[in-house]
Amino acid sequence: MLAVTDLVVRYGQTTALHGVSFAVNRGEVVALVGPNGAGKTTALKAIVGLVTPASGSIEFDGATIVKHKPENLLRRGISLVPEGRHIFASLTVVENLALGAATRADRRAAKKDVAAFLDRFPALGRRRRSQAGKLSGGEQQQLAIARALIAQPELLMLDEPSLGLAPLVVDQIFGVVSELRDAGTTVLLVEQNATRAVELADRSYVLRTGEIVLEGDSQTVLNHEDFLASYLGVAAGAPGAPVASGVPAASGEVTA
Amino acid sequence: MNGFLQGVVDALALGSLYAIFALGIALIFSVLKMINFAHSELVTIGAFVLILLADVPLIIRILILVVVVVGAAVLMERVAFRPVRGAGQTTMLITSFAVSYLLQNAAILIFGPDLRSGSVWSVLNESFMLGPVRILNLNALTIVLTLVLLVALTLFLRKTSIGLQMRAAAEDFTTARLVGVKANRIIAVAFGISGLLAAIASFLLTAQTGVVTNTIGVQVVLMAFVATILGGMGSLSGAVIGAFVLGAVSVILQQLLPLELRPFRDAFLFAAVFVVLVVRPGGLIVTRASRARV
Amino acid sequence: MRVLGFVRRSASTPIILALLVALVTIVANSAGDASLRRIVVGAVVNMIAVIGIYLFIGLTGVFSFGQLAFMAIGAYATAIFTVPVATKRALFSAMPEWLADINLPFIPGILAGALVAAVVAFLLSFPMARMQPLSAGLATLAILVAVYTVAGNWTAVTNGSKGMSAIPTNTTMPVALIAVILVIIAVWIFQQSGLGLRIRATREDAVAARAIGIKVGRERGIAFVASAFVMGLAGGLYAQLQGTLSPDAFFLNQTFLLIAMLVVGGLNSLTGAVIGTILITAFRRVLQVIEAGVDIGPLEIPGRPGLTEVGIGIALLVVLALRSSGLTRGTEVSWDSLVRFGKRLTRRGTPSAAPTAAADPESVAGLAAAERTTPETATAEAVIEPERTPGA
Repeated sequence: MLAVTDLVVRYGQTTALHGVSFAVNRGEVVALVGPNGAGKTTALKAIVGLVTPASGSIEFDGATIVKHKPENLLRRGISLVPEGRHIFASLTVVENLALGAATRADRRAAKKDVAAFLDRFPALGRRRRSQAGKLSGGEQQQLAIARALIAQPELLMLDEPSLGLAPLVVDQIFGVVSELRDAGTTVLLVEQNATRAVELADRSYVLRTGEIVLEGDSQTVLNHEDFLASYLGVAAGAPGAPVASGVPAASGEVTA
Repeated sequence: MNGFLQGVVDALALGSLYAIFALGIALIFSVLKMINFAHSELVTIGAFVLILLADVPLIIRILILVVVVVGAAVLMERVAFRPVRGAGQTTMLITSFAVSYLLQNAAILIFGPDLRSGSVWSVLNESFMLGPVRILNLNALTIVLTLVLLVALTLFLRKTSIGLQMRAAAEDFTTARLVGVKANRIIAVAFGISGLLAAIASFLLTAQTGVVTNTIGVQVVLMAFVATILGGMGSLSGAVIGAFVLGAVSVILQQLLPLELRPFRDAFLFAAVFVVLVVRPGGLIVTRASRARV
Repeated sequence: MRVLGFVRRSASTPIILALLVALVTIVANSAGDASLRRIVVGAVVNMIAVIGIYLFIGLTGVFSFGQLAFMAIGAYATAIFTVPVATKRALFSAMPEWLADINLPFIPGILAGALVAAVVAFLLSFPMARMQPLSAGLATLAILVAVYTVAGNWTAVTNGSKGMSAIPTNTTMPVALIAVILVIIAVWIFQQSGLGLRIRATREDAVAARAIGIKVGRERGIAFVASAFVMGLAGGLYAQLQGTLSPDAFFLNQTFLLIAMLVVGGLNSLTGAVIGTILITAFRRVLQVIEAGVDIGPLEIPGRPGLTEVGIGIALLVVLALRSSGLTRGTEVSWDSLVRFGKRLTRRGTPSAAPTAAADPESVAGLAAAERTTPETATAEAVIEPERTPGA
């Protein structure tokens, strides 16, 4: 569905991505993980047309989408929930959702969906008339995800949805993502919270300093000795204890 | 007492006029973060239409006025501002300054440097009594029109989809694009509305002065800048409040200043603005968008 | 050799610029008649003013519409200081005694005028330092309007809208040329100094500058005062060139012209200020000739007032749209950049290209490209960038 091939992005003299390739198939949840500054956000920005790649190709449903404008990519079915949420703080919850629905051709169905989403996310439903800026961090993230979903994207991309949220709230957000997975939504999940993201995903890519250093189905990636090394910068062969202890705790909560 | 009431009416009328100018500037600033110097030339274009076509029936003249000025505003965005949109605030500011200068002098090139006069609508120069206060028809029209415009603009921004998109774009343009707001369309609509405001402003201004020169818009637009700064850049309600405050202060200064200091009224006004900016660097009303830019 | 090395590395820019200005001035001066000579001296004075504007806008990155207010202050102050006492009594009878009694010779008069401008700027710099850049830019517009209003109405001191007259005219070509060269050298030293570096740091990234202990407001204030001093100097020279003054000489039209010069050359370099002034002055002269009406063989083009200004407006818009950082793109000319540029020319084998960097815009462009460190591929996000259709 989405195929990124040999993507190179430069900011001035620094190269943020040195020929990165990855793909997302329909119905999959794919995690793109890596430490700060690895180029995860840059990759997403390139996909939605916020930065222009120096070279490489990005294809969506078989057609190239390089140099397309962000607003048109949304109409083609790609929706990005940006890092740091970026809800419209001065607009109300309902207005934020209505914006997400503004691109849909069928106005009446869109309006119905706004109501449906307010039911689906009860926290938002309770505060539908409040300004979005007054919501808590977790509620804002839910709003951002709901706003993206209401446009009925074929591919939903989440940039660091757990960033800056309290652990309990992170659980909620991952819960939402796993619901999406179960509903068959195609998701590209970018996370620093690598272990949990990889566990949730069908397949994963590990990005480090602008290059893919590891890829495969999630079990393989989790158990690969390079996983921690590339993520935490720990030398290969270091104790895998954090992985082991992280697995049960995380998987127990995801379903909660 | 009557003098006071008269002063209130004068202040309201002046503030209303400033408000119509200021809204046009604040609207563009809110979506583009650009101060449009050339707003004054939109007003000048409108004034030329009104005066040069003085023989054409009023209704048709107003139609032509709106079409020409709105068209000029949209064209201005397309030709001059779109190419520099990504180039930073300073570049956009200089570009609008350049467009303003260019059009001012193009007016000289086309119409010559001489002042032209003509009547817009003579009824407006008559007045009526409201209790003890004499009100010029033009002032009454200005105040009423401003109220209507404020209500209409508020409804547009609150109740329509494109208005909602405009508010979103004003707050965070990148994210707005990510949720599908079409940048070019929103900006074009904003310029169209500011053109409409400029057309109305030129009608009121020309009805008052009865003359047009290539710089007729400049003086009032300078005041409108002051109003928008005073109110807080990027806030539409701030711009309106700033305009009324400015109108009131102008009238008060005109009444209270000793005769020999009256020529300095504008200097006092601008000095006062300077003081306001020192005490409240963000203006009277600080918006989220302008705060984020600190 | 060591001295030569120092010159090459650190001092070649002001030397090249000074030589360029001297060359252009002397050639233009000897080629033309009396009226052209007057224009040349005026252009040199303008260059000082453009450098003055650069000193604030270029170094701090904060935009200002108001620097001409300080040129006005310097001009009026110099006029008041240098008009002979008896003349002042006769012409400006309303002037207060103590002011009318002041009489200074040419150079002290100009320096005193510049000092007055700097003092006013110093007082204004404190409130300015509190403002956000954009507000500050508009606040300077308020300063400009306020000074214009005062100059036009304060009859006792400025003679109001009638303006000042009978100012001694001492600004000759050599005087102006020496002044501009001194200003170029002084500004170069200023911007290379530790203080100048700190000011430029605030331009690049105010937050980062603050984080390493730079007092952003204070540094901007210093640049503001320094700029006002240079503007005042230009104003004093202007007064002594024209012999008469009126407030309109320091308002929006002149502001536009000088800013156009700076922007065309490049906002962020001294080289840009110098080259922009030369180019726009030459361009303006050509337009003025056309505006006055020309006969090309049988074709007779009648004069059209406004043509010059429209031409300059279009030129500026074109530069902004195609190359918003100006012809120099913020780089300074230097010995090394000239050498590199020369090599490129010989390699390309285009002897028809102009040999000097400043002679035409294209060569300046090449020069800047050679000097530029950021490759063309820079594609940082432009938030509301215009239309980008595929394949466009």
